[in-house]
Amino acid sequence: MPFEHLLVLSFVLFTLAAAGFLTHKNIIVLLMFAELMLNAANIALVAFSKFSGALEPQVFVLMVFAVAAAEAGVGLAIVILLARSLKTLNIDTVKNLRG
Amino acid sequence: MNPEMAIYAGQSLAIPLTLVLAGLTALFIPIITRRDDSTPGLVILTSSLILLTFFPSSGTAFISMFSGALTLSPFTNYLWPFFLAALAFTALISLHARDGKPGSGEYYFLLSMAALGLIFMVSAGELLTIFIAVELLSVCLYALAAINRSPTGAEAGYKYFLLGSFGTGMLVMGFALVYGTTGTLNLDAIKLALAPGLPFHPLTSAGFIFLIAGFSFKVALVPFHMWVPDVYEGSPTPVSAFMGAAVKAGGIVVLYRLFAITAGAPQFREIFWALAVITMVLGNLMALPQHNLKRLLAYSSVSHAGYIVTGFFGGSEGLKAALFYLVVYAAATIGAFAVVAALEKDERGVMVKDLAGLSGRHPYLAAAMTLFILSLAGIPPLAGFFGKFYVFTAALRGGCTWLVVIALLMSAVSAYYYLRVLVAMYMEHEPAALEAAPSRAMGLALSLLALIVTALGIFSGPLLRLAQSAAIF
Repeated sequence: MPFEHLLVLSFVLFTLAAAGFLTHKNIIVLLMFAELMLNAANIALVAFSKFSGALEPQVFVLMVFAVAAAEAGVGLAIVILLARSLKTLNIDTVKNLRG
Repeated sequence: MNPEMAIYAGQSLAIPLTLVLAGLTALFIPIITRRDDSTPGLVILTSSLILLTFFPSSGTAFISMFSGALTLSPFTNYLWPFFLAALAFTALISLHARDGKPGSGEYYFLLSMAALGLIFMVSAGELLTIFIAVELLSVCLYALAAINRSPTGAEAGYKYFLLGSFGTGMLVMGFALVYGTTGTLNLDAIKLALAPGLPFHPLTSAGFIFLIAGFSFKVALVPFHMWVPDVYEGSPTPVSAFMGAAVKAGGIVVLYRLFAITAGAPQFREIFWALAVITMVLGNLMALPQHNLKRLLAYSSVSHAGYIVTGFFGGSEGLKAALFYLVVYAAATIGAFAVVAALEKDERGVMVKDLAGLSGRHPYLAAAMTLFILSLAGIPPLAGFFGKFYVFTAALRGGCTWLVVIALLMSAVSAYYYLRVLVAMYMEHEPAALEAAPSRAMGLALSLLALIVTALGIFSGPLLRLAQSAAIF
Protein backbone atom coordinates (compact mmCIF):
# COMPACT_ATOMS: atom_id res chain seq x y z
CA MET A 1 0.00 0.00 0.00
CA PRO A 2 1.54 3.36 -0.93
CA PHE A 3 2.52 5.70 1.86
CA GLU A 4 0.19 8.49 0.68
CA HIS A 5 -2.89 6.29 1.06
CA LEU A 6 -2.07 5.60 4.70
CA LEU A 7 -1.62 9.31 5.32
CA VAL A 8 -4.95 10.14 3.69
CA LEU A 9 -6.66 7.43 5.77
CA SER A 10 -5.13 8.96 8.88
CA PHE A 11 -6.33 12.49 8.02
CA VAL A 12 -9.85 11.31 7.15
CA LEU A 13 -10.10 9.32 10.38
CA PHE A 14 -8.77 12.26 12.40
CA THR A 15 -11.29 14.67 10.85
CA LEU A 16 -14.18 12.26 11.42
CA ALA A 17 -13.13 11.70 15.03
CA ALA A 18 -12.79 15.43 15.70
CA ALA A 19 -16.18 16.09 14.06
CA GLY A 20 -17.79 13.29 16.06
CA PHE A 21 -16.23 14.66 19.25
CA LEU A 22 -17.73 18.07 18.63
CA THR A 23 -21.24 16.86 17.76
CA HIS A 24 -22.06 13.90 20.00
CA LYS A 25 -23.86 14.14 23.36
CA ASN A 26 -23.06 10.89 25.15
CA ILE A 27 -20.37 11.13 27.82
CA ILE A 28 -18.79 7.78 26.94
CA VAL A 29 -19.02 8.19 23.15
CA LEU A 30 -17.03 11.42 23.49
CA LEU A 31 -14.31 9.47 25.26
CA MET A 32 -14.24 6.98 22.37
CA PHE A 33 -13.87 9.76 19.79
CA ALA A 34 -10.93 11.20 21.74
CA GLU A 35 -9.26 7.77 21.60
CA LEU A 36 -10.03 7.57 17.88
CA MET A 37 -8.18 10.86 17.33
CA LEU A 38 -5.11 9.37 18.99
CA ASN A 39 -5.30 6.28 16.80
CA ALA A 40 -5.66 8.36 13.63
CA ALA A 41 -2.44 10.14 14.61
CA ASN A 42 -0.86 6.74 15.26
CA ILE A 43 -1.63 5.69 11.68
CA ALA A 44 0.14 8.84 10.46
CA LEU A 45 3.19 7.95 12.59
CA VAL A 46 3.29 4.42 11.23
CA ALA A 47 2.91 5.75 7.68
CA PHE A 48 5.95 7.99 8.18
CA SER A 49 7.85 5.04 9.62
CA LYS A 50 7.01 3.00 6.51
CA PHE A 51 8.13 5.90 4.31
CA SER A 52 11.48 6.57 5.99
CA GLY A 53 12.27 3.12 7.37
CA ALA A 54 13.07 4.66 10.77
CA LEU A 55 11.81 2.92 13.92
CA GLU A 56 11.41 6.03 16.13
CA PRO A 57 7.77 6.64 15.10
CA GLN A 58 6.84 3.06 15.96
CA VAL A 59 8.32 3.55 19.43
CA PHE A 60 6.28 6.73 19.64
CA VAL A 61 3.13 4.75 18.75
CA LEU A 62 3.79 2.26 21.55
CA MET A 63 4.19 5.17 23.98
CA VAL A 64 0.92 6.66 22.74
CA PHE A 65 -0.81 3.30 23.39
CA ALA A 66 0.53 3.21 26.95
CA VAL A 67 -0.42 6.81 27.64
CA ALA A 68 -3.87 6.41 26.07
CA ALA A 69 -4.53 3.41 28.31
CA ALA A 70 -3.55 5.37 31.43
CA GLU A 71 -5.66 8.30 30.30
CA ALA A 72 -8.67 6.10 29.60
CA GLY A 73 -8.29 4.53 33.06
CA VAL A 74 -8.46 7.88 34.85
CA GLY A 75 -11.12 9.11 32.42
CA LEU A 76 -13.46 6.16 33.02
CA ALA A 77 -13.06 6.57 36.78
CA ILE A 78 -14.15 10.18 36.46
CA VAL A 79 -17.03 9.20 34.14
CA ILE A 80 -18.30 6.69 36.72
CA LEU A 81 -18.09 9.35 39.44
CA LEU A 82 -20.00 11.78 37.23
CA ALA A 83 -22.62 9.25 36.07
CA ARG A 84 -23.36 8.39 39.72
CA SER A 85 -24.13 11.99 40.59
CA LEU A 86 -26.03 12.73 37.34
CA LYS A 87 -27.93 9.43 36.88
CA THR A 88 -27.69 9.96 33.08
CA LEU A 89 -25.01 9.98 30.37
CA ASN A 90 -26.16 13.07 28.48
CA ILE A 91 -23.51 15.79 28.31
CA ASP A 92 -26.17 18.55 28.40
CA THR A 93 -26.89 17.73 32.04
CA VAL A 94 -23.28 18.58 32.98
CA LYS A 95 -23.80 22.23 33.80
CA ASN A 96 -23.51 22.87 37.52
CA LEU A 97 -20.45 25.02 37.01
CA ARG A 98 -21.07 28.18 35.04
CA GLY A 99 -20.45 31.89 35.52
CA MET B 1 31.42 14.33 29.37
CA ASN B 2 34.06 15.23 31.96
CA PRO B 3 33.82 13.82 35.50
CA GLU B 4 32.59 17.09 37.02
CA MET B 5 29.71 17.25 34.58
CA ALA B 6 28.92 13.57 35.13
CA ILE B 7 28.64 14.19 38.89
CA TYR B 8 26.42 17.18 38.25
CA ALA B 9 24.21 15.17 35.87
CA GLY B 10 23.88 12.44 38.51
CA GLN B 11 22.98 14.95 41.21
CA SER B 12 20.39 16.54 38.95
CA LEU B 13 18.81 13.19 38.09
CA ALA B 14 18.52 12.52 41.81
CA ILE B 15 15.90 15.27 41.98
CA PRO B 16 13.16 13.56 39.91
CA LEU B 17 14.05 10.23 41.52
CA THR B 18 13.68 11.67 45.02
CA LEU B 19 10.36 13.15 43.99
CA VAL B 20 9.13 9.72 42.85
CA LEU B 21 10.25 8.15 46.14
CA ALA B 22 8.63 10.92 48.16
CA GLY B 23 5.41 10.52 46.20
CA LEU B 24 5.35 6.76 46.75
CA THR B 25 6.05 7.26 50.46
CA ALA B 26 3.16 9.68 50.69
CA LEU B 27 0.93 7.19 48.87
CA PHE B 28 1.74 4.21 51.08
CA ILE B 29 1.95 5.81 54.54
CA PRO B 30 -1.85 6.07 55.05
CA ILE B 31 -2.25 2.50 53.76
CA ILE B 32 0.27 1.16 56.27
CA THR B 33 -0.70 3.26 59.29
CA ARG B 34 -4.45 3.16 58.45
CA ARG B 35 -4.81 6.79 59.49
CA ASP B 36 -5.78 9.86 57.47
CA ASP B 37 -3.64 12.60 58.94
CA SER B 38 -1.25 15.20 57.60
CA THR B 39 1.81 12.90 57.39
CA PRO B 40 1.75 12.49 53.55
CA GLY B 41 1.58 16.26 53.13
CA LEU B 42 4.52 16.75 55.48
CA VAL B 43 6.52 14.13 53.53
CA ILE B 44 6.04 16.01 50.26
CA LEU B 45 6.64 19.38 51.92
CA THR B 46 9.90 18.36 53.60
CA SER B 47 11.25 16.48 50.58
CA SER B 48 10.63 19.42 48.25
CA LEU B 49 12.25 21.75 50.78
CA ILE B 50 15.28 19.43 51.08
CA LEU B 51 15.58 19.26 47.27
CA LEU B 52 15.40 23.07 47.11
CA THR B 53 18.09 23.45 49.77
CA PHE B 54 20.54 21.05 48.13
CA PHE B 55 19.72 22.02 44.57
CA PRO B 56 22.81 21.37 42.40
CA SER B 57 23.66 24.23 40.08
CA SER B 58 26.24 24.02 37.34
CA GLY B 59 26.26 27.61 36.14
CA THR B 60 26.14 27.78 32.39
CA ALA B 61 26.75 24.14 31.40
CA PHE B 62 24.55 22.44 28.79
CA ILE B 63 24.32 18.69 29.31
CA SER B 64 22.42 16.35 27.06
CA MET B 65 21.39 13.00 28.59
CA PHE B 66 19.77 9.76 27.34
CA SER B 67 20.77 10.49 23.71
CA GLY B 68 19.22 13.92 23.81
CA ALA B 69 15.91 12.99 25.46
CA LEU B 70 16.65 15.17 28.50
CA THR B 71 18.79 18.30 28.61
CA LEU B 72 20.14 20.16 31.63
CA SER B 73 20.79 23.83 31.02
CA PRO B 74 20.76 27.20 32.83
CA PHE B 75 17.10 27.19 31.84
CA THR B 76 16.34 24.08 33.91
CA ASN B 77 18.51 25.49 36.72
CA TYR B 78 15.98 28.29 36.97
CA LEU B 79 12.74 26.37 36.40
CA TRP B 80 13.29 23.19 38.45
CA PRO B 81 13.59 25.11 41.76
CA PHE B 82 10.57 27.16 40.70
CA PHE B 83 8.45 24.01 40.29
CA LEU B 84 9.77 22.55 43.55
CA ALA B 85 8.86 25.78 45.36
CA ALA B 86 5.39 25.75 43.76
CA LEU B 87 4.97 22.14 44.93
CA ALA B 88 6.09 23.08 48.46
CA PHE B 89 3.64 25.98 48.67
CA THR B 90 0.79 23.90 47.25
CA ALA B 91 1.51 21.17 49.80
CA LEU B 92 1.60 23.78 52.59
CA ILE B 93 -1.80 25.19 51.57
CA SER B 94 -3.20 21.67 51.14
CA LEU B 95 -2.27 20.85 54.75
CA HIS B 96 -4.93 23.35 55.75
CA ALA B 97 -7.50 22.46 53.08
CA ARG B 98 -7.30 18.68 53.41
CA ASP B 99 -7.38 18.43 57.20
CA GLY B 100 -9.47 15.44 58.14
CA LYS B 101 -10.35 14.49 54.54
CA PRO B 102 -9.73 10.93 53.39
CA GLY B 103 -7.48 10.05 50.47
CA SER B 104 -4.68 12.48 51.24
CA GLY B 105 -2.06 9.85 50.31
CA GLU B 106 -3.28 9.72 46.70
CA TYR B 107 -3.66 13.48 46.65
CA TYR B 108 -0.02 14.22 47.52
CA PHE B 109 1.22 11.37 45.31
CA LEU B 110 -0.60 12.83 42.29
CA LEU B 111 0.60 16.33 43.17
CA SER B 112 4.26 15.28 43.26
CA MET B 113 3.88 13.28 40.01
CA ALA B 114 2.38 16.38 38.37
CA ALA B 115 5.45 18.35 39.51
CA LEU B 116 7.63 15.56 38.07
CA GLY B 117 5.84 15.91 34.73
CA LEU B 118 6.56 19.65 34.77
CA ILE B 119 10.23 19.03 35.57
CA PHE B 120 10.60 16.68 32.60
CA MET B 121 8.55 18.94 30.36
CA VAL B 122 10.92 21.91 30.64
CA SER B 123 14.07 19.81 30.29
CA ALA B 124 12.83 17.82 27.29
CA GLY B 125 15.13 17.73 24.29
CA GLU B 126 12.83 15.55 22.20
CA LEU B 127 9.21 15.54 21.11
CA LEU B 128 8.68 12.12 22.70
CA THR B 129 9.88 13.38 26.11
CA ILE B 130 7.57 16.38 25.84
CA PHE B 131 4.64 14.10 25.03
CA ILE B 132 5.21 11.73 27.93
CA ALA B 133 5.83 14.61 30.36
CA VAL B 134 2.69 16.45 29.26
CA GLU B 135 0.61 13.31 29.68
CA LEU B 136 2.12 12.50 33.09
CA LEU B 137 1.14 16.00 34.14
CA SER B 138 -2.33 15.95 32.58
CA VAL B 139 -3.42 12.52 33.82
CA CYS B 140 -2.44 13.50 37.38
CA LEU B 141 -4.35 16.76 37.07
CA TYR B 142 -7.54 15.09 35.76
CA ALA B 143 -7.56 12.90 38.85
CA LEU B 144 -6.64 15.79 41.17
CA ALA B 145 -9.52 17.91 39.87
CA ALA B 146 -12.02 15.19 40.85
CA ILE B 147 -10.25 13.97 43.99
CA ASN B 148 -12.89 15.22 46.45
CA ARG B 149 -15.45 12.93 44.72
CA SER B 150 -18.06 15.68 44.95
CA PRO B 151 -20.48 16.36 42.05
CA THR B 152 -18.76 19.65 41.21
CA GLY B 153 -15.34 17.98 41.46
CA ALA B 154 -16.46 15.20 39.11
CA GLU B 155 -17.77 17.77 36.68
CA ALA B 156 -14.52 19.74 36.79
CA GLY B 157 -12.49 16.57 36.33
CA TYR B 158 -14.67 15.44 33.43
CA LYS B 159 -14.51 18.76 31.60
CA TYR B 160 -10.75 18.95 32.07
CA PHE B 161 -10.32 15.34 30.97
CA LEU B 162 -12.51 15.72 27.88
CA LEU B 163 -10.92 18.91 26.56
CA GLY B 164 -7.50 17.66 27.66
CA SER B 165 -7.84 14.47 25.60
CA PHE B 166 -9.00 16.52 22.62
CA GLY B 167 -5.82 18.58 23.09
CA THR B 168 -3.76 15.40 23.37
CA GLY B 169 -5.20 14.15 20.07
CA MET B 170 -4.11 17.35 18.37
CA LEU B 171 -0.67 17.14 20.02
CA VAL B 172 -0.01 13.61 18.75
CA MET B 173 -1.14 14.58 15.24
CA GLY B 174 1.18 17.59 15.45
CA PHE B 175 4.11 15.44 16.61
CA ALA B 176 3.43 12.99 13.75
CA LEU B 177 3.36 15.70 11.09
CA VAL B 178 6.43 17.54 12.39
CA TYR B 179 8.34 14.26 12.61
CA GLY B 180 7.18 13.13 9.20
CA THR B 181 8.30 16.27 7.42
CA THR B 182 11.55 16.94 9.28
CA GLY B 183 12.61 13.32 9.87
CA THR B 184 13.68 13.81 13.50
CA LEU B 185 12.20 13.98 16.99
CA ASN B 186 15.04 16.10 18.41
CA LEU B 187 14.06 19.74 18.96
CA ASP B 188 17.44 21.22 17.98
CA ALA B 189 17.58 19.05 14.86
CA ILE B 190 14.04 20.15 13.93
CA LYS B 191 15.12 23.77 14.16
CA LEU B 192 18.11 23.01 11.89
CA ALA B 193 15.92 21.09 9.43
CA LEU B 194 13.69 24.14 8.91
CA ALA B 195 15.87 26.27 6.67
CA PRO B 196 15.47 29.95 7.60
CA GLY B 197 13.87 32.18 4.98
CA LEU B 198 12.26 29.32 3.05
CA PRO B 199 8.52 28.76 3.55
CA PHE B 200 7.64 25.63 5.56
CA HIS B 201 6.24 22.54 3.89
CA PRO B 202 2.42 22.76 4.25
CA LEU B 203 2.36 19.61 6.37
CA THR B 204 5.06 21.05 8.66
CA SER B 205 2.99 24.20 9.10
CA ALA B 206 -0.10 22.11 9.83
CA GLY B 207 1.90 20.10 12.38
CA PHE B 208 3.11 23.20 14.19
CA ILE B 209 -0.41 24.65 14.18
CA PHE B 210 -1.67 21.44 15.83
CA LEU B 211 1.15 21.66 18.40
CA ILE B 212 0.49 25.33 19.16
CA ALA B 213 -3.24 24.63 19.51
CA GLY B 214 -2.57 21.63 21.77
CA PHE B 215 -0.31 23.59 24.10
CA SER B 216 -2.64 26.59 24.03
CA PHE B 217 -5.17 24.20 25.61
CA LYS B 218 -2.73 23.47 28.43
CA VAL B 219 -1.80 27.14 28.93
CA ALA B 220 -5.40 28.31 28.38
CA LEU B 221 -4.88 30.88 25.66
CA VAL B 222 -8.15 32.18 24.16
CA PRO B 223 -9.86 30.52 22.17
CA PHE B 224 -8.69 27.33 23.94
CA HIS B 225 -9.62 28.48 27.45
CA MET B 226 -13.23 27.22 27.76
CA TRP B 227 -12.36 24.67 30.44
CA VAL B 228 -10.45 27.06 32.71
CA PRO B 229 -13.18 28.77 34.76
CA ASP B 230 -15.17 25.58 35.34
CA VAL B 231 -12.12 23.49 36.22
CA TYR B 232 -10.61 26.11 38.52
CA GLU B 233 -13.96 26.56 40.26
CA GLY B 234 -14.73 22.87 40.71
CA SER B 235 -11.24 21.63 41.66
CA PRO B 236 -9.93 21.71 45.24
CA THR B 237 -8.54 25.22 45.72
CA PRO B 238 -4.87 24.23 46.25
CA VAL B 239 -5.07 22.27 42.97
CA SER B 240 -6.42 25.37 41.21
CA ALA B 241 -3.48 27.31 42.65
CA PHE B 242 -1.03 24.71 41.32
CA MET B 243 -2.71 24.74 37.89
CA GLY B 244 -2.72 28.52 37.73
CA ALA B 245 0.91 28.92 38.76
CA ALA B 246 3.07 25.90 37.93
CA VAL B 247 1.17 24.14 35.12
CA LYS B 248 0.75 27.39 33.26
CA ALA B 249 4.50 28.06 33.56
CA GLY B 250 5.37 24.63 32.13
CA GLY B 251 3.05 25.13 29.16
CA ILE B 252 4.41 28.62 28.54
CA VAL B 253 7.96 27.25 28.40
CA VAL B 254 7.03 24.65 25.76
CA LEU B 255 5.12 27.31 23.80
CA TYR B 256 8.24 29.48 23.90
CA ARG B 257 10.30 26.62 22.48
CA LEU B 258 7.76 26.21 19.66
CA PHE B 259 7.94 29.97 19.13
CA ALA B 260 11.74 29.83 18.92
CA ILE B 261 11.68 26.86 16.51
CA THR B 262 9.16 28.46 14.17
CA ALA B 263 10.72 31.94 14.44
CA GLY B 264 11.98 31.66 10.84
CA ALA B 265 8.45 31.81 9.43
CA PRO B 266 6.61 35.14 9.71
CA GLN B 267 3.14 33.57 9.66
CA PHE B 268 3.84 31.83 12.99
CA ARG B 269 4.86 35.13 14.56
CA GLU B 270 1.46 36.40 13.46
CA ILE B 271 -0.31 33.41 14.99
CA PHE B 272 1.37 34.05 18.36
CA TRP B 273 0.64 37.77 18.01
CA ALA B 274 -3.04 37.05 17.42
CA LEU B 275 -3.20 34.54 20.30
CA ALA B 276 -1.65 37.08 22.69
CA VAL B 277 -4.06 39.83 21.64
CA ILE B 278 -7.27 37.75 21.83
CA THR B 279 -6.14 36.25 25.14
CA MET B 280 -5.47 39.62 26.74
CA VAL B 281 -8.65 41.26 25.41
CA LEU B 282 -11.16 38.45 25.98
CA GLY B 283 -9.52 37.15 29.18
CA ASN B 284 -9.86 40.54 30.83
CA LEU B 285 -13.31 41.34 29.44
CA MET B 286 -14.73 37.99 30.57
CA ALA B 287 -13.32 38.50 34.06
CA LEU B 288 -15.37 41.69 34.51
CA PRO B 289 -18.82 40.14 35.24
CA GLN B 290 -17.55 37.28 37.47
CA HIS B 291 -18.92 36.98 41.01
CA ASN B 292 -17.20 33.81 42.14
CA LEU B 293 -13.68 34.61 43.35
CA LYS B 294 -12.17 31.43 41.89
CA ARG B 295 -13.72 32.10 38.48
CA LEU B 296 -12.44 35.67 38.63
CA LEU B 297 -8.92 34.42 39.39
CA ALA B 298 -9.27 31.83 36.59
CA TYR B 299 -10.01 34.51 34.00
CA SER B 300 -7.25 36.65 35.46
CA SER B 301 -4.84 33.73 34.94
CA VAL B 302 -6.00 33.47 31.32
CA SER B 303 -5.18 37.12 30.70
CA HIS B 304 -1.78 36.84 32.43
CA ALA B 305 -0.84 34.07 29.99
CA GLY B 306 -1.49 36.65 27.27
CA TYR B 307 0.88 39.16 28.91
CA ILE B 308 3.60 36.51 29.15
CA VAL B 309 3.24 35.56 25.47
CA THR B 310 3.74 39.27 24.71
CA GLY B 311 7.23 38.87 26.17
CA PHE B 312 8.13 36.25 23.54
CA PHE B 313 8.50 39.05 20.97
CA GLY B 314 11.38 40.68 22.86
CA GLY B 315 14.11 38.16 21.99
CA SER B 316 16.35 37.02 24.86
CA GLU B 317 15.48 40.18 26.78
CA GLY B 318 11.85 39.15 26.47
CA LEU B 319 12.54 35.60 27.61
CA LYS B 320 14.30 36.96 30.68
CA ALA B 321 11.31 39.20 31.42
CA ALA B 322 8.89 36.30 30.87
CA LEU B 323 10.84 34.06 33.25
CA PHE B 324 10.81 36.82 35.87
CA TYR B 325 7.09 37.34 35.27
CA LEU B 326 6.33 33.63 35.73
CA VAL B 327 7.74 33.71 39.27
CA VAL B 328 6.09 36.91 40.46
CA TYR B 329 2.77 35.92 38.86
CA ALA B 330 2.94 32.45 40.43
CA ALA B 331 3.59 33.87 43.91
CA ALA B 332 0.62 36.24 43.68
CA THR B 333 -1.69 33.58 42.17
CA ILE B 334 -0.89 30.91 44.75
CA GLY B 335 -1.35 33.56 47.42
CA ALA B 336 -4.75 34.68 46.14
CA PHE B 337 -5.99 31.08 45.88
CA ALA B 338 -4.63 30.42 49.38
CA VAL B 339 -6.80 33.23 50.73
CA VAL B 340 -9.79 31.61 49.01
CA ALA B 341 -8.83 28.27 50.57
CA ALA B 342 -8.65 29.91 54.01
CA LEU B 343 -12.12 31.39 53.60
CA GLU B 344 -14.12 28.65 51.88
CA LYS B 345 -16.38 26.43 53.89
CA ASP B 346 -18.39 24.34 51.43
CA GLU B 347 -18.97 23.49 47.79
CA ARG B 348 -20.54 26.86 47.08
CA GLY B 349 -17.17 28.61 47.03
CA VAL B 350 -16.36 32.23 47.85
CA MET B 351 -18.16 35.11 46.14
CA VAL B 352 -16.68 38.57 45.85
CA LYS B 353 -19.49 39.99 47.99
CA ASP B 354 -18.67 37.44 50.72
CA LEU B 355 -15.45 39.38 51.28
CA ALA B 356 -17.41 42.38 52.59
CA GLY B 357 -15.95 43.60 55.84
CA LEU B 358 -13.08 41.11 55.80
CA SER B 359 -10.63 43.88 56.76
CA GLY B 360 -12.47 44.30 60.09
CA ARG B 361 -12.70 40.62 61.01
CA HIS B 362 -9.42 39.32 59.59
CA PRO B 363 -7.09 42.29 59.01
CA TYR B 364 -4.03 40.13 58.22
CA LEU B 365 -5.91 37.95 55.71
CA ALA B 366 -7.30 41.08 54.05
CA ALA B 367 -3.84 42.71 53.97
CA ALA B 368 -2.28 39.62 52.35
CA MET B 369 -5.10 39.47 49.78
CA THR B 370 -4.54 43.17 49.04
CA LEU B 371 -0.87 42.58 48.30
CA PHE B 372 -1.61 39.64 45.98
CA ILE B 373 -4.41 41.44 44.13
CA LEU B 374 -2.39 44.64 43.73
CA SER B 375 0.56 42.63 42.45
CA LEU B 376 -1.67 40.86 39.91
CA ALA B 377 -3.08 44.23 38.87
CA GLY B 378 0.48 45.54 38.44
CA ILE B 379 0.54 48.39 40.94
CA PRO B 380 4.03 49.65 41.97
CA PRO B 381 6.05 48.96 44.07
CA LEU B 382 4.85 45.33 44.09
CA ALA B 383 6.50 42.60 42.05
CA GLY B 384 3.67 42.34 39.50
CA PHE B 385 4.34 45.88 38.32
CA PHE B 386 7.99 45.16 37.55
CA GLY B 387 7.05 41.90 35.84
CA LYS B 388 4.71 43.76 33.49
CA PHE B 389 7.20 46.60 33.10
CA TYR B 390 10.04 44.32 31.97
CA VAL B 391 7.81 42.21 29.67
CA PHE B 392 6.26 45.22 27.97
CA THR B 393 9.61 47.05 27.61
CA ALA B 394 11.16 43.99 26.01
CA ALA B 395 8.23 43.61 23.58
CA LEU B 396 8.48 47.32 22.76
CA ARG B 397 12.19 46.94 21.95
CA GLY B 398 11.26 43.94 19.81
CA GLY B 399 9.15 46.30 17.68
CA CYS B 400 5.66 45.25 18.78
CA THR B 401 4.26 48.68 19.63
CA TRP B 402 0.62 47.81 19.00
CA LEU B 403 0.82 44.65 21.06
CA VAL B 404 2.13 46.67 24.02
CA VAL B 405 -0.52 49.36 23.56
CA ILE B 406 -3.25 46.69 23.71
CA ALA B 407 -1.57 45.05 26.71
CA LEU B 408 -1.45 48.36 28.59
CA LEU B 409 -5.09 49.12 27.78
CA MET B 410 -6.18 45.69 28.96
CA SER B 411 -4.14 46.03 32.17
CA ALA B 412 -6.11 49.19 32.85
CA VAL B 413 -9.35 47.26 32.29
CA SER B 414 -8.14 44.52 34.64
CA ALA B 415 -7.71 47.07 37.44
CA TYR B 416 -11.53 47.31 37.55
CA TYR B 417 -12.20 43.72 38.58
CA TYR B 418 -9.16 43.53 40.84
CA LEU B 419 -10.18 46.70 42.66
CA ARG B 420 -13.73 45.33 43.10
CA VAL B 421 -12.19 42.71 45.41
CA LEU B 422 -10.40 45.40 47.43
CA VAL B 423 -13.52 47.58 47.61
CA ALA B 424 -15.51 44.62 48.97
CA MET B 425 -12.89 43.92 51.64
CA TYR B 426 -12.31 47.48 52.85
CA MET B 427 -15.28 49.67 51.98
CA GLU B 428 -18.32 47.44 52.45
CA HIS B 429 -19.39 46.68 56.00
CA GLU B 430 -22.13 44.17 56.11
CA PRO B 431 -22.25 41.29 58.55
CA ALA B 432 -21.11 38.58 56.15
CA ALA B 433 -21.43 34.89 56.83
CA LEU B 434 -17.87 33.85 56.07
CA GLU B 435 -15.69 33.24 59.08
CA ALA B 436 -12.13 32.11 58.48
CA ALA B 437 -9.94 30.14 60.81
CA PRO B 438 -6.57 30.06 59.04
CA SER B 439 -4.40 27.26 60.37
CA ARG B 440 -0.74 27.77 61.20
CA ALA B 441 0.37 26.20 57.89
CA MET B 442 -1.89 28.58 55.99
CA GLY B 443 -0.60 31.56 57.98
CA LEU B 444 2.98 30.59 57.20
CA ALA B 445 2.26 30.16 53.48
CA LEU B 446 0.42 33.48 53.27
CA SER B 447 3.12 35.44 55.09
CA LEU B 448 5.91 33.91 52.97
CA LEU B 449 4.04 34.61 49.72
CA ALA B 450 3.20 38.17 50.79
CA LEU B 451 6.89 38.66 51.63
CA ILE B 452 7.93 37.34 48.19
CA VAL B 453 5.47 39.56 46.35
CA THR B 454 6.68 42.64 48.22
CA ALA B 455 10.40 41.83 48.29
CA LEU B 456 10.60 40.97 44.60
CA GLY B 457 9.08 44.35 43.86
CA ILE B 458 11.50 46.35 45.97
CA PHE B 459 14.59 44.20 45.31
CA SER B 460 13.95 42.71 41.87
CA GLY B 461 17.71 42.63 41.07
CA PRO B 462 18.73 39.14 42.27
CA LEU B 463 15.85 37.28 40.64
CA LEU B 464 16.30 39.32 37.47
CA ARG B 465 19.98 38.32 37.35
CA LEU B 466 18.97 34.67 37.76
CA ALA B 467 16.44 35.03 34.94
CA GLN B 468 19.14 36.74 32.86
CA SER B 469 21.50 33.80 33.26
CA ALA B 470 18.68 31.36 32.46
CA ALA B 471 17.54 33.17 29.32
CA ILE B 472 20.20 31.76 27.02
CA PHE B 473 18.50 29.22 24.87
